[in-house]
Order: sequence, then C-alpha cells, then structure tokens
Amino acid sequence: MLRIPCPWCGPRDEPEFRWGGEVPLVRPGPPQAVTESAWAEYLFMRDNPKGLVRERWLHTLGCRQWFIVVRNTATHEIQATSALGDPLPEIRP
Amino acid sequence: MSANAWRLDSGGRIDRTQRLSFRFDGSAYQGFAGDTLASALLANGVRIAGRSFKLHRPRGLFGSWCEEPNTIVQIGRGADLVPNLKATQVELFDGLDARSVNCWPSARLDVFAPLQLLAGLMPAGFYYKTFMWPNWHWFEPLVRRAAGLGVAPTLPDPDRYEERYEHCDVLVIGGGPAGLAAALAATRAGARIVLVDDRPVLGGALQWEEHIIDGQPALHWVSAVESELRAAARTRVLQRTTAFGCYDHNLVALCERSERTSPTAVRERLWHVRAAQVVLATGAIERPVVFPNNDVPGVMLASAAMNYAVQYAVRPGQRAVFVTSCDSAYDAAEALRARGITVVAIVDVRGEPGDSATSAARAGIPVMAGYGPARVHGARVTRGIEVRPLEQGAKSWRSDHVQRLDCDVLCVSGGWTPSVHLFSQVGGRLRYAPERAALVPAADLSTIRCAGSASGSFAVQDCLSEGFAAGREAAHLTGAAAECGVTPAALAKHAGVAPFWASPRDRRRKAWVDLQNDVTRGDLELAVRENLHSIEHVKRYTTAGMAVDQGKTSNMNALALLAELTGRRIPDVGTTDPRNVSRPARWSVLSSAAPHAPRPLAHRARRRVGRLRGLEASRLVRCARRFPGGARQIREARRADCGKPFRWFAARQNRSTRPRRSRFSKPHVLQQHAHSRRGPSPLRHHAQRARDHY
Repeated sequence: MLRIPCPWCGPRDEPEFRWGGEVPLVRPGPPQAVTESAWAEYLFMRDNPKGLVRERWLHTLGCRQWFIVVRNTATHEIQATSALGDPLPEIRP
Repeated sequence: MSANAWRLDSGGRIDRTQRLSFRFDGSAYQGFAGDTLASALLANGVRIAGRSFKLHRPRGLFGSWCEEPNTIVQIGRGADLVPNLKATQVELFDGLDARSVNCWPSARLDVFAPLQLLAGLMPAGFYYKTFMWPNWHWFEPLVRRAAGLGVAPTLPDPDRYEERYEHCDVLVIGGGPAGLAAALAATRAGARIVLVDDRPVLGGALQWEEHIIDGQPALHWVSAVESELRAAARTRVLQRTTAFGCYDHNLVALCERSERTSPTAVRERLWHVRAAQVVLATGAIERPVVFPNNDVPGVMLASAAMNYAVQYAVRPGQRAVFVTSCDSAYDAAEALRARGITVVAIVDVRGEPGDSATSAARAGIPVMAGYGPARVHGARVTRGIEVRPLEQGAKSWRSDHVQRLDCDVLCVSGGWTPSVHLFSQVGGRLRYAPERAALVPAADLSTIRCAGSASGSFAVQDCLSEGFAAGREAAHLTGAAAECGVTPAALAKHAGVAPFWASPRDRRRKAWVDLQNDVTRGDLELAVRENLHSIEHVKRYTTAGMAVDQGKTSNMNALALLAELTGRRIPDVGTTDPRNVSRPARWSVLSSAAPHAPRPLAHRARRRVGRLRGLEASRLVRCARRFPGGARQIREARRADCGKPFRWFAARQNRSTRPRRSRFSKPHVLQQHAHSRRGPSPLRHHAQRARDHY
C-alpha cells in the first residue's frame, strides 16, 4: 500500500486515492476532424514506461482534489507531488 | 519405551511442576508447560509424527520452528478446528487435541502407506502425463481428494479477531541477538520503536546456543535487554507475532497470536505497522544435505536437535551422528554430548575442518574429516548411516571403503540460509556469497536494512555488532540521536562453512530435496531432461519449495542442484521470488476488519491482502514489474508477446473462451458508453472497428 503525500492533506494511505492515468494526455479535437487512429491512440494507448512517470491522482476520500504525482513504476517510489495548475514537476532521473 | 528415556532429568526452559495432558492421533500423552507440541511428542518417544504428502512415507520431526516440513497437524475439533499447523510452532496447552494430516487412521499406521511401492510410477509431474486418457475430468475428483493436507473447518469460527494500526520510527523484526541489539540501540537513541518476535520467548537462537555476551551467559543478557526495552516508554515489544508481509513504503503486516488465557480473549490480531525505518533481523534457517534415504524419521537439522536438547530438555535420540559442512554443528554436538547423548562421530565433508574440529577431537568426539554420507539405514526409524571418503571438492567418492555408524538420530547441517523472504518481497536483490554458501542481500534498501544472520553474518559476535549498528543508524535517520552506549560483544565463535549440497549421486536410491512435497534429486533431473531450466519452471513442475513451509529448508538445495545439472553457476540460475504472505496467516485474521460482512471469509481475506499489496494487486494502475528490459514500453511488450497491440481496459478479456464480464467488452455497451461520454460521430465506428481489428 502506497503512502501518497497529498499537496493539501499530507501523507495518506493509498485506499483514499484514485488513480487518474498518465499526464500529459491531450484530447485531440475537434471530434469531426479526428481520424480513427488518432482516437484509438488517445483512448487506448498508453506509454507505461518502466521508471518515473507523471500521473494524476484524485484524493477521493479526502479533499477531493486532483493532483500530479511523479511515481516510479518499478520501485513504487514517489518522487514528488504537485497541485493541478502548478507547473508539472520535473522528473529527476 | 517410557517417557523418561527421552526427557532429560534436568535443565531446559520448561516448567516441570506444571504437567499438561494432550492427545495426538487419539493417544494420550503428557508434557510440561513451556513445551511445544513437537518437543512433547519427541519427549514421549513419538518418532513417526507425520506422513509425506505424495508417497505417505513415514516422517519424523526435522526442524524445531517455522522450517519444519514434516509434522503438519490440525488441532481442535468442530468449530475450533485449525488445520495445517506445524507441530513445532504449537505451544502445548492442557487438553490439546492434535491429529496428523494426510494419513488414516494415524501417522504410525497409515493405510495409504503402500503408495510408497508405486513411487516409481509417480515421478514429478506424473499427473500431467498419466491422467490424460480418456479425460482428465474423470480422474480429477479422485486426485483432488487424494491430494491436500488438513481439512478445513465447516463451522463458523467462534473466536474474536482484531486489527490495529501502528506507526513508529524503527520497526525491528526478529528478537534474536541481532534484533535485540538493534532494538536496544534504537531505544537508547530515543526513537519510537516496535520489536516483533514470533516466538513465545525473546532471544531467538540464544535460547539454546551457549554464548557469553558482555561477560555473562547469553540468557542473562537477553533478560537484561528485555527489561530495558519493556521499561522504555516509546518501545513496544510484540511477542508471538509474525511479520508475514512487507509491502510498499514500509507497510509491514503482522499477525499476533494471543496466549490461550481465556476462551473469550482475542485469538489473533492483525497489525498494520507503517515504519520510517525497518531493520530485518529475521535470522537464518539451517539447511539439510541431500543424500540417499535422508527422510527417515530420526534425521533432523543439527540446530533442531540442539534446540530440543537445550531448550526443552528432550533427547532427540540416544546415539547421534552429525553430518556437516559448517562449524555450527560442532557446538550442537558439544551440547548433546554434555547432556549425556552419545555422539558417535561428526562426519565433516570438508577435508580440513579447522579449529572447531580440533577442539571437538580434544573433547573426545571422533571427527571424520573428508567423509560424506552415502545412505541412511532404517525405514521407520534411523538405524545407522554409511559414510564414504570424499574426493577433494566433495564431487565424487574417493574410494569404495564404506563404513557404517550405528545411530538413532542423524543431525545434518549443510550451512545456513538467511531468511530474506520479507526483503525479497519488497524488492530487495540477493547475491550469492560462495564463502558463506548462501544467498545474501546484495545491498540494503534506502529504508530497509538487514542485520545479523539475515544478512549472512552467522557468527554471534557479528550479529550483535551488525544489529546494534543497524538499530543506531536507523534511529539516527529518523532524527533520534541520543547516545547509544557500547556495542554488546560476545566471545567469538567460528562460523566457517563450505558449500556442500548433496552427496555424489547414487542412482539406486532416492535422495530427498524437498521433504514436504516428496521431491527427490531424480525429480529435478527429470525436470531438466524435459527441458525445464528456469528455476521457476522447475519449482512448478516438481513442486519443490511449495506448500506450507514454502521450501524453507529445500529451496537452496534445489537451486544448487539445478545449477549443477544445467552446468550453470548459482547466481545465473537465480531464485524464485518468495510469495506474498510469507508465513501462513489465517483467513479469519486477514478478514478481521469486517467480521460480519456478507462475503465469504476467503473472499474478504483475499481482498485484505490485495489492499495491503496495493498497486501490485490493482488492475487499473499499472506497474512495470512485469516488463523487464529497460524502457520497453507496454505496446512493444504486448506486440512481442502475442503480436497484438494492447487494449488497456479490455485486455483481460479473451472473447473465445471466457464469459464476458466487463461491460466494456460487450460491443453495444461500448457504443452506448462512447455515445454518452465522447460524442456520437467517429467513435461509434471506431468502437466497432477497434473490436474487430484488435
């Protein structure tokens, strides 16, 4: 079970949170102009690298805020968190 | 034979004024307070205490704690029934009713015993080949009934269970010399600590090994440390508590068993401990040697024989032979001899055993250096052992000269295996240390460090100094920086060891690698002949290292033999990963959080373990553990594996064979879903196309 430092509430256990996927993820548009392969890319394809990745989390059972987490997918180390709207945190290798 | 022949007249950490009656397989016996079921059985002369899993061979006590592979029992009846306990870990209480499992009517007289005669027809994986025609499903009910150990209780569990949460600066796991020294240092530094030990008494191996620490007998030092820890306000000592899982971000799950004081007391307690720093002082488990007939009752680990003799005042036998490749067995031989047990000889596979052998010889114990075990005599009880001189390097016999030594207990010691299950579970890497003949932690993790035998330092003086240093460093990292005092020092003991896994091959007789699952050396050879070379495949094919004991005594030997058979070095073979919940924990305690929830116990228990594991168990959040190989991305991995791109939310569905469960996998729902959330136009077609295309 991870311990995730919410930018507003401090470190809390993982069951309080919900995972929201990798960022940045830009929705292509407008819908009429988007090719099917671009939609497929947007909907289904994710990078899922081994190593550090930036992702969104929602503090469902807390402040209900979305925020950004830099997490290592191999070791589960959490390197940084930041509020939405702040500049994306740097990934330090 | 009367009970007195097996119980020593004096000594031991048992209370002789308090007699306890118990039953085993229907017969009444007596033991003392402080006994385990195993030591009480041994003291009553019960040599055959269990039957092996596959072939129903008679088996006796082999270990003295969690490593025990043979003596699996179930205790109680009706709603109180608890299956699949190791007799070595059951504390004796008055009225205990234990039965051996996997045999009928008793372990001594098992009607399935003739299965041994069919051993030749049942090599590793025979069920994959023999029950194929005409249809496996015809045989399945029968085979499933024949397999398995204890019987699960059918009535609801009447006991109470609890769970608690705890936070601390330093969590010390293990109450042996290293753990006590670590807890002492961290306590003195002023940290908030929790010390966890799974035995009823602190001290670990100090309870039966004889050492001098800080100028006093080891047990005096243990009780001094214990009282200092108990007096400290910020230190919690949890006894009878097993750390069974080490999860992300230093979450450690513990299972605390209560003493049986009253029927209404909480039976077991689940602890979730979140620690800033963890010190793993989990010790090491002695390793047997593989040689023909090494499963006959009476063959046991040297440390176990010493434990029974010293801690429980039980003679493991009347005449003992030791087979060893390491120095610690000499201490065991000395301890047995001092308690009136005849030590016939110490058979040391090393050609030049060193100082320990010299002092043993001086004390009058014959040492046969450069000899190896050729076979054990006896079927239901050990009657003797044949030894033969070994070539330099111990790979083959030097001559045909076979010497028989009569004995009724054979103590084996092939070195020690560090208990690194928790460390591996949390991602720690191991390396093979040939000078210690063991897999030891390669490097400590940032907040988890191993100390003492768990890190491969088997001598008591190193355990104390490493443990003390680990406790001090961990406490300092959490900001507790008070003076820790002087490192405890012990009179140095030898801990030399030479790698020796098995005697030269004898094709006429079976040599057992895994006692719990009846895996022989021949089974490993068969697996290699059938082209299973990965240790993970060999484990699953032969079942070496599975079941209740999870290969605590067998994994290392299986690994080394596999390396030999495939001509690789031990580090190249690698290891199997220890599974989550590294010591058995009951479903009742795992589901303690919601005792009356409307789900079945097993379901709740699995949910709880899933929660503890967090991300790893989650299907939504992906982790890269499955995808080795640098920055290989999931798409490439999928393409490489099955030639198809990865549909991330429907990937688990297999349309042809499995019922569709996810709403995403049904095309019309997918379309509706797409309509409602993403707007109508391209996606409708896309959903259809995507389904067809992928």
